[in-house]
Amino acid sequence: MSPHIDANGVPIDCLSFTVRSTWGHFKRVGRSVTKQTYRIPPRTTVAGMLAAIVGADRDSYYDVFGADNSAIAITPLSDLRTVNIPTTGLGTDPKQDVTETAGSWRTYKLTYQNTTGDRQLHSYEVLADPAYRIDVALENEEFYDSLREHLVNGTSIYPPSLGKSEYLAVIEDVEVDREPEVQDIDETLDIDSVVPISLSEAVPQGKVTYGVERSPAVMVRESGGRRTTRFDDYVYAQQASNPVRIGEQTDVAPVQVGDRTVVFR
Amino acid sequence: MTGPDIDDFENALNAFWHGRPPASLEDVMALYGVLAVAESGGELYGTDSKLEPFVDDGRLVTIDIDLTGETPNVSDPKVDTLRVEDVSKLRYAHKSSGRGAKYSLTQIGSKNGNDAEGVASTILGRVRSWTTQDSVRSVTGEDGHPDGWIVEELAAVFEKGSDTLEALEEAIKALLPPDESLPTVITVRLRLDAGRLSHGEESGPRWFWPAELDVLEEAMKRYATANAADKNVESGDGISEGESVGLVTDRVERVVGTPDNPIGVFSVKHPDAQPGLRQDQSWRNYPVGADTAMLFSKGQDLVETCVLRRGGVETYALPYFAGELTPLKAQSLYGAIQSLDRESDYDDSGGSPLARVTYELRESDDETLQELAKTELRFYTITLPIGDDKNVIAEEPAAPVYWVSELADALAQTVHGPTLNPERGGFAPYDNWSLLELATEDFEESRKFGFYRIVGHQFTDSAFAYRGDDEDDDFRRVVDHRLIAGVPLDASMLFDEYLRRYHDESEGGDLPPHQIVAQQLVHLETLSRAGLLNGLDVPIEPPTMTTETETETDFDTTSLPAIREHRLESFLDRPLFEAPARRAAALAGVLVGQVSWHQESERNVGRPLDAQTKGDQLTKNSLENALTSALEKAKVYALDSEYRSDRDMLFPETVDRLLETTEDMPSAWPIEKRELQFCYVLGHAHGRRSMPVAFDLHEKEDEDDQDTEEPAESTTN
Repeated sequence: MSPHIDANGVPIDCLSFTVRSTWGHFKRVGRSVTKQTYRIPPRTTVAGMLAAIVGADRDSYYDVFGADNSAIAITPLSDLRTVNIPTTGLGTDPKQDVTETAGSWRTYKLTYQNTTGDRQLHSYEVLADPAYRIDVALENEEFYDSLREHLVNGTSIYPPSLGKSEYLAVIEDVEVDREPEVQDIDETLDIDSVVPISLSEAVPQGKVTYGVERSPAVMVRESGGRRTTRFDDYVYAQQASNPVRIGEQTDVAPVQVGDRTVVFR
Repeated sequence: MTGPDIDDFENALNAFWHGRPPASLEDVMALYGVLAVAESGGELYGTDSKLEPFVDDGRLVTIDIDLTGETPNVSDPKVDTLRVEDVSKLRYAHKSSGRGAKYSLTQIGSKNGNDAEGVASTILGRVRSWTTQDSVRSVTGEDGHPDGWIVEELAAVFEKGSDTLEALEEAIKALLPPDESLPTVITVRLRLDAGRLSHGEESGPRWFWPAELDVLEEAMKRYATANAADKNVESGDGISEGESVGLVTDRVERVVGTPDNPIGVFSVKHPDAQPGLRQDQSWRNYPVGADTAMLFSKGQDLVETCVLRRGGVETYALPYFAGELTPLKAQSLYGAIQSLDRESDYDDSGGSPLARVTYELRESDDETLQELAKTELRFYTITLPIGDDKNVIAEEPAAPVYWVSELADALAQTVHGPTLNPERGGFAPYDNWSLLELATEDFEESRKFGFYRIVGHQFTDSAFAYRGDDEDDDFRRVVDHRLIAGVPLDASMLFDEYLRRYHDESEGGDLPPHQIVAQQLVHLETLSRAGLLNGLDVPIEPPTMTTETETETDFDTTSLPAIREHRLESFLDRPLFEAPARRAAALAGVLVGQVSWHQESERNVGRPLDAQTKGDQLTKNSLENALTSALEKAKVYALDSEYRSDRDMLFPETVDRLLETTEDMPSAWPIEKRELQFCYVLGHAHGRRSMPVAFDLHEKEDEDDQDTEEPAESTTN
């Protein structure tokens, strides 16, 4: 049975698990010259990671993670700390850096990289020791059942990673059939997950620094490729131990999942 | 000259602002575009306000071309003073990037003026260049404008090497006085048969200004937006655009994939191009509405106002308000950004935009603004190296002023506390040392200038190591960003930086000036006070006392040993020195410093003990050697010292406390190397000046308390 998701985006039940890695890099849109990372994996990235576990093909799963038939909450478990790591790389531009003439086998032409070229230095901003608790519910039964099975058995078709294939992710503490309980906001409420609100809606707390981000949330597939149809703003606290405090007027539907208070989106 | 009023901001917000508070660099760039729209009278493209510096002080050169005959007839250009009533006819559209032709047919030269030669070559050249732009020419072709023929005629008149162009150059040189350099605008007036135009109902020939011609408007818009969809796009049909949800607007619209990026962090021209990278599809991942792209370009000048360039890096600090944007907030923001353009007293002292904008709002007469500065003011800060090699050193999308204010307050308390008060065992204020000179200001001023120092790099630069060419200032700027975001620094990293700086300052084998160490203690204590220090079990700041200067001198100022003892006792009275190992390391440093002073000043020893005991290279073993010989010498010298003591030893106050603290020798002290070194150099800096300061305080007694305040000492020892 797959969970029903109500009009507030709250599912009847959900899967919860922790994903962590030594490094993470969720490249921001609008940065191509430089490589900065989001602090929180975009909703579309989480979708891609889950699709990898289930083994869904590229571009085949966007409708499973639509705005109305899926719900995802992301709770940072580690302090959101980044480091700039210089990497050296070879270009892979076929016009410049790839050789095709070096050999052939019958009718095959071999294409491989020309490794004698100068390495280019690229600095990547990466998250150090990122860990997130993900709560997810999908109305697509086949996908959801398959995901549950893989998570429970600790298997995956393609290896999940945090943003780049070299940052292999570990998945742990899987819990199934979690039933989110709707929480009322009594003047204020502390939320553990990131909250899809704007900075000014977060209630200030002494010594707590809030961050804000805007990242892709929902994609669609079309003939020419895929494109983003929704971007989300969300607020998080720099230190994992600090929750995001919201006020009564805030237009979100917080729920309790285990001992955490989260907001699905 | 009047700036935009509140209605201008209201109109600009209504027309172009999406309503969400900013959450990304794109939002902030669009916001600055909206402010620029208000600035230029509510238009996305036209930029009449950019002509303001030319009005009345500049000249307008008008080239009349009659297009009613068989061939264009170019009359001799005319010149007149540019009047405010001319501006709207010219339909000027500014292009920020500096080089090349502006977006409109009307072109301008430098605000500072061009001479006749410059007008004839540079500005006229821009008119010519405008007619050659692909995007301008596109109005003549398919998918063009019905009146595209006008642009075609213009292109022929201004064709490179043509007789008409050369004649115009000569005519302009003849028209303008050769030695006079004035701000100059060139425009073209066309005589047309109105009946031939696709718009309007009039007929018959008359003269048209650029603002009256629809085709010129269209060409201007095409030119202004051209790059946003095709810059560096080499794949597909060379254009990246589509229909999608705009990243900034949240609205389905025509989006473009190569918008201008004022900070230069986005481009589809990759050095590390991927096979199969489809540049013409960039709009799918980075869908920026066509109008939003124009806002990015439009806001460029305002973005550029908010940069601090210093020491090889540039830090943008773009102010915005975290809440809903109102016309009043937009106007205040614009005013605060504009204030950065003015000459300021703080320019030399690191006039960072972050500090200046904050204080501009804080010190405003308007209580609403003061409140906004407290609650909603945020900065999008981003630091990059200056130059073509783009990388982002550090970035903080929503930097509050909270932590900087906390730090500035902690800094002010520190420099007004015992640490910089010689009578209470501390160091002294000094001019020209960025943290030490703060102590000579009153508390509020210290706090304000402290704020400037913190965001103006000096706070970190005064204590941290220099770096070689490879790293430049990167690490220190990352640290600045952490502090702004309220991320605590680790003590072991700081000790390492402090000692590396100590090493940097001791080039040539000389002891570094003790002010270096004093600044580092101020630095460390400030971080601790502000709650931004991790990795130490104790706070650095001395126990809280009233920050009022304590007037009672509860020690005997007529006796040098008593002064020394009192100062040492006060110096040690901080939680940092509660741990025996740190206390012992500091006391060892004090003793080595005191003995070395004695050797140098009383016995003319060329290489005193501390010349052989470098703080940054100190090990437990080398400290053991130094301490052993310091103890021996304290005894030996006591025999023939003129500062007679009732003891058989010089500096008994230090020796006694050391022996009370530990009976172990340094090799047995449980302390990390860098921590040992820092405690040692702190103690040494105190000990080296133990006698000289005691003399100062001693002599003061005889001067009948003329000036009770300790004057700032000169920086030479």
